[in-house]
Amino acid sequence: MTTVTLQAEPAAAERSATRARRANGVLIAGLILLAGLIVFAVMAPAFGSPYHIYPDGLNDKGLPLGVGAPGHILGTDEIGRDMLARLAAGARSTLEMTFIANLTSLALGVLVGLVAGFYRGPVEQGLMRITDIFLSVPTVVSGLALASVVGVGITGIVVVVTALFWAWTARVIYGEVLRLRTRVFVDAAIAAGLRRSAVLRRHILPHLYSLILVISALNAASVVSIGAGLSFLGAGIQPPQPDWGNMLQSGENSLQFAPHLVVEPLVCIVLTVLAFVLIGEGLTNREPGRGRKSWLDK
Amino acid sequence: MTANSGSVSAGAASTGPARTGSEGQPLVVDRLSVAYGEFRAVTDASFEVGTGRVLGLVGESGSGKSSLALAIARLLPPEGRVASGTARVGDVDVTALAGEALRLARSELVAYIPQDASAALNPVHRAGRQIAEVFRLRYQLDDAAAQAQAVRLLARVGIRRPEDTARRYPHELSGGMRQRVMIAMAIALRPALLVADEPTTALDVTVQAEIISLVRELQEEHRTTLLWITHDMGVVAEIADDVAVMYGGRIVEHAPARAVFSAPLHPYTKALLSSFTTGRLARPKAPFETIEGAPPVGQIPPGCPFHPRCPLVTDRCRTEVPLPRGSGHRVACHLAEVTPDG
Amino acid sequence: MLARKIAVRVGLAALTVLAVIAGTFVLEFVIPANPARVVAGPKASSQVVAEVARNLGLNRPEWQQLLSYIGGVLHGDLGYSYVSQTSVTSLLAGRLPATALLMAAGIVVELAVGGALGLWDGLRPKRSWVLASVNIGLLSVPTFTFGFLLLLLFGYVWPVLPVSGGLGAAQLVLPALTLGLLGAPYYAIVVRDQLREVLPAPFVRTALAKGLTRRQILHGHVLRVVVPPVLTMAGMDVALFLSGVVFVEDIFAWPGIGQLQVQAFSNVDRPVLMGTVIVAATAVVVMNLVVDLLRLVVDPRVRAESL
Repeated sequence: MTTVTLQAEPAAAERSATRARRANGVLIAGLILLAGLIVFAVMAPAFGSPYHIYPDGLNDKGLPLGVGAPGHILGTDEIGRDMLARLAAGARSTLEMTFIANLTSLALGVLVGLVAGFYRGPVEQGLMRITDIFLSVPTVVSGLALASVVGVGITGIVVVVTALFWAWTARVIYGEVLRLRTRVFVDAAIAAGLRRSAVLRRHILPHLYSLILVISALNAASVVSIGAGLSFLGAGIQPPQPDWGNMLQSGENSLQFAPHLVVEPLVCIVLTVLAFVLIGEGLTNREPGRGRKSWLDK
Repeated sequence: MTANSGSVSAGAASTGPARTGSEGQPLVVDRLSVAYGEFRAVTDASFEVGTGRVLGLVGESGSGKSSLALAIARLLPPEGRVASGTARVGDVDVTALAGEALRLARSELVAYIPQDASAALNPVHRAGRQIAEVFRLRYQLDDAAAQAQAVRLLARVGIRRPEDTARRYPHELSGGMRQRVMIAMAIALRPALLVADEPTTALDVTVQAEIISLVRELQEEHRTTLLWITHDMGVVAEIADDVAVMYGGRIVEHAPARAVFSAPLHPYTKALLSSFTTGRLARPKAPFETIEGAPPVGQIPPGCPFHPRCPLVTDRCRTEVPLPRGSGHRVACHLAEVTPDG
Repeated sequence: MLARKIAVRVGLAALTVLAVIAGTFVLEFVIPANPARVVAGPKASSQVVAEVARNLGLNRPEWQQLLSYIGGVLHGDLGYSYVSQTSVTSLLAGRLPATALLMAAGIVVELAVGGALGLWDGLRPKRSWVLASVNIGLLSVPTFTFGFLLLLLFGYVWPVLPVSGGLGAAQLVLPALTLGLLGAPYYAIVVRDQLREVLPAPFVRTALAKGLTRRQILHGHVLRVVVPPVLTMAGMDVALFLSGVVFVEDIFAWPGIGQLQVQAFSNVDRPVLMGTVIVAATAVVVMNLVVDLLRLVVDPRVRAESL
């Protein structure tokens, strides 16, 4: 009798390798997209001023020029400013705002989640109640209310976005810390006499890094989305400073005869969100169903 | 749903395969091979179990005993298949059944008792309902009648307050009780063959003994043929009329229990028994014998599957697969002495 | 035992609502330098402002103000809009049904499309990446973007549906689709994942071993376990929808509380802004509570595990 090799194992290893490769492709796609957007933002000055009103910016009927017009490859807006320049400037402010707001909401969320999950007891209860409260208010509704108090513009929107987004990060981190907390190595470290804060820093934090990375990508996606949305509603960066959200707002009225005023900022927003979503998805290692087969397939 | 009151006469109410009465049927397995993709878990297994007898199928993990049991019960996962051979229960070749015929044969012809009762029960249904379900959906009994049957069965498997237990959810029951529920489900339609796949392995020792005697009792009552899979020689000693030993996907020895325990012929069986007696019954601090090496995982060597660990190995063992020899006491070993009457 | 668990949850919900009310109090009266001015509006004369200050009792210690504010809210007094000179409560009450209708329609779209997709994908033997890609795609499209897309497509490119103008059934289609289609893949994925989780489970093998038909197994065993998480998600969607609704109502001019909030923002009408937050948050809390309690009742394992 010849030897029989076990094929089941290589097949499983192969499956996870393909999965890893596919996930990496997603990640790389997202990174490339993000890099492109950053380049676009950095190159903004090269496209000219976003405030300059071109004398030939409007056609004879007084309507904005469309895509492919000479000198204005992406057309002009309703008062004759160059769209390319405005979009690039908008990229800049969007990326700035995203970076800052992401950082602050993440930092606050991670801090709260860590402390609540690790120190347990009344601190945990209190922090989680507060987290729940923030999670109960619908984002845009409260975003508008908050913006009316805090003010508009980039600082305002950063504050609002931070307030809206720290809670879900806190919740996710909290759950993960709870999970890690019950693992044996934590008890071992405490039993060995390490101070709680040291245990937190040296044993729990390292396990959270990859999770935090994923969260920051997905958080960034939401920040861009809500940031643009709030700007669209007038709660963000104010015109004439160019921002994709407020460009949408002013373009809304011209939808019928100059749809590019709406479509272009929309595409920019979607691409930016997509970039972060791809990065986030590429970083997660999800495996729904674990490849087991259904009994009903027999 | 038509109201079919009271008792269920197995075979008469259903339109299953032809069966005479509610007694057991003999099991004849002929060169059955079970494979998962390219990997052969069971190769050329052949044995018979007479009507109403109990066969203990023994082997370590990876010996293929579970795959053999699942194949006979037609409960292999989608990746598994019967590569060759047949298994007949009475007149019916269960390996050839398909579609509606297969569905009807389930639980009526062959029933299966799994090892892990907690995973095998639906967590959101009450215990009674899960048993009653067979009667409701297969015999079209109304809810009350089906429930009554379930309670009757729960009482039959030794549960002291059957109505109470029927109302409970699986997570509210102890391990032993859950296994009794599984047993009740298995015997509900009076199957001709019961396949018990290590049903006591996950239970406490005291509960084990109760379950073993319960199954024995039920089996005797209806002369149900019983195939009991285990890795524990002690359990085999308690319940089996005949014993089949598996190693590396093959049946290496098959004989009445007494013969196997008093005069084992295969080196593996001998080693198994001696490690069992020295281990289980050992005096404190006395070393117990183990079998050197480990069972094959993945690559099954050529020739006799046991040869890498066999103290009596010869060149022939390394190249040529020993076929089962003998009549009453069968053994697959080149070196075993098969006596004419064994 | 069960009563106690229910009581705990209801208590926490009430606490959350109170906290939100207190939060809006802080935003409206504590932080601004001149709350009376804020409430009266930027165009009011100083006499009106003084009057408002007196009415609100702004010279009292803050905790007293807070208590009377909370008391007022609990009695349905959410203040007055300086823009329309009507009570915020009546404004909101007038518009709430429209928003509720829109959200209900959105959830129906979500469940129908998502459930169907998820069932279809989950029951197929081969796994496909289609659903995952669709989900990623739609995750990247913010609600207002999708709304504009639909607006462009069906309002102008292919003008079959009205894009604004009141509460008709035809006018409901586009906004409901905007809300619902975006959320559908989430449901599809949940349903599919649940199916993938449940279908290979040992208790399904047991059902098979009992000789049940495929349909009996699906209905009696598989779906019973798959449905509760979907219901939970639907409940949680209320929070998400209440956000998306603002954009959708603005873009499609649907006269609900979202549109009200946008108008209030441009008018800096604080009482309306805060009042809407309170009402919206209460709606979310109540929905979550209902879903939570339902799960407690339906899924016996949850009953055993939780507090």
